[in-house]
Order: sequence, then structure tokens, then C-alpha cells
Amino acid sequence: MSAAIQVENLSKVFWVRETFPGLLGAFKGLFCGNKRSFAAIKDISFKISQGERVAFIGPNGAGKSTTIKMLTGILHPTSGFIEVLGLVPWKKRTILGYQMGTVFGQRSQLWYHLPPRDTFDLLATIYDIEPQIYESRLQELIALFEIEDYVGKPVRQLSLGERMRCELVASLLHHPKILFLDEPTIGLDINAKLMIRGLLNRIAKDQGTTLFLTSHDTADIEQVCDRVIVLDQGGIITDSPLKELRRTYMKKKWVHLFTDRETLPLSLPGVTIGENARYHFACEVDLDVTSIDRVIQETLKLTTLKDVTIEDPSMEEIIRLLYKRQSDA
Amino acid sequence: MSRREAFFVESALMLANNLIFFVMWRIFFLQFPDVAGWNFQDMLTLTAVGMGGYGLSQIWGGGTKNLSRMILNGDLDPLMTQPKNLLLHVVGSKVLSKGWGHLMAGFILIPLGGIASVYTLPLILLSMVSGGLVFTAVHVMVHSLAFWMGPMEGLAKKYCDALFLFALYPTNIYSGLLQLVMFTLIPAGVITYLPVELVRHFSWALFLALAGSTIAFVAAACWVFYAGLKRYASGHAFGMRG
Amino acid sequence: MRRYYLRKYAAIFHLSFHHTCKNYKALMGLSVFLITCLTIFAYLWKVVAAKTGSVVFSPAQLLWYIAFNEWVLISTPDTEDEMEEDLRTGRLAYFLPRPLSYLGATFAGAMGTLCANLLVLGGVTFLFTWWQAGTLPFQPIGLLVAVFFGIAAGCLAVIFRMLIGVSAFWLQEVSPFFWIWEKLLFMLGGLMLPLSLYPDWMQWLAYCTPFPAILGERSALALDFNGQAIAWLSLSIVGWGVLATICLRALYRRGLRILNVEGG
Repeated sequence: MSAAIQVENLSKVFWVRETFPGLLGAFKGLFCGNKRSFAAIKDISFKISQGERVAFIGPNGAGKSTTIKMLTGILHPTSGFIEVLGLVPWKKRTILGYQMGTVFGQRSQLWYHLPPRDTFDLLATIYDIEPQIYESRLQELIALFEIEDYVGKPVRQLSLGERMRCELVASLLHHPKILFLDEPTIGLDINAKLMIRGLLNRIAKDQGTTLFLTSHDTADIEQVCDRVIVLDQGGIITDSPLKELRRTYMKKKWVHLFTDRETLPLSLPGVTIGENARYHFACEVDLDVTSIDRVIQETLKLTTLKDVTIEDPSMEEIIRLLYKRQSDA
Repeated sequence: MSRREAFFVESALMLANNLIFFVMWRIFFLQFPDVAGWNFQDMLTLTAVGMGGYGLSQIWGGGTKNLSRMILNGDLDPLMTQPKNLLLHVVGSKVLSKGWGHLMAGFILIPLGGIASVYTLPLILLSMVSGGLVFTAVHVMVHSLAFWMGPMEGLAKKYCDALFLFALYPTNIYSGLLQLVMFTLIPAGVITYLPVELVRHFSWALFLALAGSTIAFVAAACWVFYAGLKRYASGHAFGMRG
Repeated sequence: MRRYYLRKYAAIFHLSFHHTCKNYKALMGLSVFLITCLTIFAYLWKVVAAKTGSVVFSPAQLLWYIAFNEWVLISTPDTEDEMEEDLRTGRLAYFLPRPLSYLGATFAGAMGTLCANLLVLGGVTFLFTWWQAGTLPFQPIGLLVAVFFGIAAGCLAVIFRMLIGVSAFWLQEVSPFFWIWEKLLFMLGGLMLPLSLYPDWMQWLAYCTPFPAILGERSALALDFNGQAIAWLSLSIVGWGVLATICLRALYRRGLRILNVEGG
């Protein structure tokens, strides 16, 4: 499969002016201060194939926005190599524009006092979409995103969830090969988030669109993406498929046992008790030390089991652990 | 451009902006030396007081610029939980650097125009303070209408711009209903007319009128804001529905 | 291909015109502001004219002169603010990857807004000034000339405001530059007083700037219509428009290079 995005040894350095604390410092800063360099991105490399759904995440200030700006041609790198769909972004930005879509969760491209349909018509003209192709594409997207009821209502009257659906339609009208999404579910309620994630999965599956997503919501990552690149302090700390991430970084599971005994006197190495009262025994099992089999076997020696639940660690736990290990290192 | 360079550039440009505006009046008064009994010196006093007052309002009350937006976005919530006077906190939360340019222009016009004496200088300086308070009070009142009327940042800005405009033009030219409006809905008369008349012919009645109306506007601003805040806190403010 | 390219900007113009007409609150606000300004000037000139009588124009003509000035002045959209916001909020990020020029799109959008404003505020200006002045002291052809050159002058004002807006690449706020430009426009454009009342040296200075073309010379044309003045005004608007466009493009390219290197 050909590469949608290819990045090699990419670096970006900014120059910032020194500031001083406090009110006196503010006055001092007016008259003196030095400039120093700041490496926002440090020698990162990755390759994304067409059709992949990649989450590009990291703590605040990690360099995610800087990287996206370089990928979309807004920012020039200090050094390194980037190709998006075979084109160097800042050199062929206009040509790339026809093949790329962008959705920024906190910024809108819809005209506020007009219905979304008017913005769609404008975008069709901007992207030189033939009228017949545009009409059929629009109807397809309206049906897919279920926006028939409000595509004719002014944007100012739409809820955030409705607006976000229209933003996605606007970004997909020209059938882009790659879609950059920056916090697409921010501020949405749980149902709207589920809807947006489902739609993203459908367009990736049905249309083969490559998704490049940044989000602080780990559920976006879990439910949409199949690969995660984690950035911190300008460098990549992890780049792996989602399934492998779980297997590699978390070898603990939560086991919930519902028994006939009010409390359970179970003590095993590698088992950390979370709750042990009212016939509910919850524990974290370190799979490197012991197995779930062993835990259940030992429990059956003490009582009968009414119910057993085994929980995988959440993506949030995994990401938190990644950040912690990086900062400890 | 760094923040420090931007600060100097903005202040200097605002000063230049005000002085250019003043030159326009110089040309006007060269052609027409008398406007309803006011001469060029009176216009100088008006401009110094108007610009100085406006500058002060932007320095100590720059936060009013964002007040209607804060109300609509629910940004008052975190401030309401803090142990500080909310209105003062919001109003004083930002200093607009161009305010220094306005204030400097006001100060420069005093010696430039020779309008200061032992008697008039304290009056001019006090009038700048009262003007600043009235500007701030009107900004607070207009932006607080967002508690009831929803998105109106644009309209509020236009209203505040209109007030500044009225305050910098001769305020003695109006009659009838408009003269009443100049002391109530668009209090340019309080900001510049009363101070100019005080400098021309001091009287305790005028002084008390200036002080009293300034206090009244400040009190009205507090009342309007806190009345709106009750609505906001009860969840009935415009746009606060989930 | 060029036809398709222009079609994009025509679509933006059309949408912007439509958008402005739908934003009736803003139009109402502008109308109120316009009436405020015209009221101030109406009172000012009543008081002045009561003492001095006619100067260059009669009091009624002077009010129409100021009205034609204010009509274009207030109709011109706050393009520099929008450009500053595009940069500050990152909305520029939506434009840059698209197959169209940011400057072209901004200009087309601003022209749409300008035309909608000129239409609505033209009606308000005409009715209010007719009520205040009591007469229509110009020929019908003068009115047509005023409307045509009003659009041209507005276009020139938009380009200059875009030039100010482009300074957002370097400044925290562009409004100080705008205020300087505006005050120079008031003074050297002859907002309140016809330029013929200025000292000679100041008239000479004013005619070295684009401001009379945007305001005073244009408005005076409606009241004192003659072929020579039309030719001079046309040349002035076109010449300044070309110069401003060249500067705008150069500054924008420079700003974009800085954005590309230093971010925003």
C-alpha cells in the first residue's frame, strides 16, 4: 500500500524571547531580554499508509499542532523530509489542497448566519467540483451524516453536535484522500461523540480515507483508530498498533468476583485488592506474577462464585502510564 | 514582533492618532473660531478631558471589552467562586495598551494648549478621572445587557464607539431632546460638557452636578451588572440553557 | 481555467453579500451609528452656519457632502479586524490548504459585505439627510456619479484596510494602525470640511494621498459635477488601487514566509 504520509528526521526550532516574572519583571522585559531557541519537534520519523486511521496524541505542548501544521504545509520544517500523498506540503500546498480535508474542532468553516448548504455550495465552487458530481456527493453525505433536517437552517441555530456533522460534510465534499482532524469531538455530549466516531469509521471503511486524528479523548482513539503515535516534548515515544500497545504496556487486569461470602480472605502474590465488602471482591491482577486462572481457582476453594467480570485496562490508563514513564525517564 | 515592541508601537500610534484628530479640529476652528460660544481653548480642554478619561477607562477597565462574551460563554463561573469582588475583577482583568496612548495625548494637550493654571489643572485632572469612571460605567451597563439580550458584542462595541465619538465633538451644540440624551443615554455631556463649562466658569453647582452624575452612573452600572448576575446565577440568562 | 478561478471569488462575493443581508442586527447597528454621526454633523453645521452662512457649499449642500462621506466610511467592513482574528485564532489554517488565494477570498468577501452595506446604508443616508437638509441640492446625474464612485472608493478603502490587516503578521493588534489611517482619512480626506477650505500647503499634502479620492473629492463631485473632476478622481482611484495592491501582495508574501518559519 502506498504511503499517505512519509516523515523522516523532521525537526522544527522556534526562537522565543526571555520573560521575567512579576510586575517589575514585566517592566524589565520591556527593555531587556535575550532570545533563545526552542526545539518544538526533534528528529521524528513515521510512515502512514493509505486507509490507515492514526491517532496522533501527546500531552499539552508536545508538538502535535506544530506537526500537523507542517503536514498541511502551513509551517516549514527546520530540517527533515515530509511527503503527503507524494507531495511536499509547503511547496505544493494548493495541489495538495484538492486531496486533503481538515476539521478543527474549535474553529468553524461554516458561515454563521447562513444555512450549511450555502457553505457547501461555496466549497463545491472552491474545489472545482462538477455540479452533477457535487449534487450526488452532497446527497450521499447528507444521508450518511443524517443532516437532512437542518442543512437548510442557519448555522447559529444548530447545536454543537449538529454543527460538527456539517463541518465533517464540508471537509468531505471534495472526496479527500486524507482527513486531518484536530479535536473533532471536543465539547460534544456522549451521544454526539458516538455518532461522530461511527461516521469517521464508516468513511474510512467505505471510502478508504486516511484519518489523522489528534484528541485528548482516549475514547476517540479506542473507537476510531487502529494505530497510535504518541508525542512528548517534541519526540515520538511510541508508534504502534493499538492492540500491541495494550499488550506491551499493560499486563494487569481488573477482576471482579461476586461471591456468597460477604468478604473474601484471598491473598496471592501479584494481586492487589481494590474492594472487599458486601459480597464484591475486586482486585488488580499482575499477569507477570500470577494468572487469572489461579485467582479464580483460589477463590473457588473459599466460596462459590455468582459472577465474574474481567476488565481490560482503559486507554486512559495506558496513555497515563506512557506519559509517566517518559517523564520518569 | 514581541510583546514589548508591540506595547510601545501601540501606545505611540494611539498618541499619534489622537494628535492627528486634534489637528483636524485646529483646521476647523481656524475657519470657524466660535462654535455656540466655545472657542479653540475650550475644544482643547474637551479633547484633553475626553481622551484622558477614555485612556483611563481602557487602563483600569479594559476587561469590559470582553464582558458580554464572558457572560455568554459562561466564563464568569470560575471568577464567581473566587474571594474577590466579581465586577472589579472582571473590569480590571485587562489593561489595553492603547489606553496609555489616549492618556498621554490628554496630558500632552494640557501644556500644548496652555489650558492649565493653578485653578484649572486640578479640575482637568479630576474631570479625566470622572470621565474615565463614566466611560467604564457605560461600558459595563451596555455589555451587561447580554444577560438579557444574548449575543450583542457588536452592538455594544458600536454603542461605546458612538459614546467616544460624541464625547470628542463639541457637546454644547445640541438642543431639546438630544441635549437630554447627552446627559442620560449617551452621557457625553457628563464626560466633556460639564468639565469644559467648569473650566470656563467654575461653580459649585456644576461641580456637584459632575460629581453627582459620575456617582450615579457608577451606581447604575453596579446595579445593572448585579441584577443581570442574579439571572445568570439562576440559569435564566440568555444562552445559558444547556 | 481562469473562468473557473474567478468563479470561486464570485461565489464568495455572493455568499458574503447574502450573509451580510441576513445579519440584520449588525446592519441595524451600523444604521444607528450612521444616524448618530449625521446628527452630530447636522447640529454642528446648523450652529456654525447660523453665524457664518455658506462656505463653499450652502449648509444643506454641506450636510449632503458629509452624508456622502459617512455613507462610504461606515459601509466599509472591518476587514483588518477579520484578518487579525484569522491569524490570531488560526482560522487562516483553513484557508492555506485550499486551492484559492487568501487575499483574493478576503477581498471578495469584503466586497460582498461592502455592497450590502452600501445598499442598506445608502437608503438610510438618503432618507435621513433629505429629512434634515430639506432639499436635494444636486442633479440626478450627480447622484448616479456619487453611487458609482462610492463603490469604487469603497473598494479602494477595502484594499487599504487589508493592507492594515496584513500587519497582524507582526503586531499583537492592528487597530492602532487602523486608527491612524482613519484619522488621516478624516483629516486629509476632508470628512468635515471641503478640502478647498484647508490652507494651501495642507491641500497639497492631501492630494498626495489616497484620502481625497475615498472621501472629499468624491462627495464634492456629486454636488459639483464636471468632467475634469471625474477624470482626476478615476485616475486617482485606479492609481492608488494598483499601488496598494502591489504593497499588499508583497507584505502578505513576507508575512506568510514568517508564518511558515516561525508559526503563529
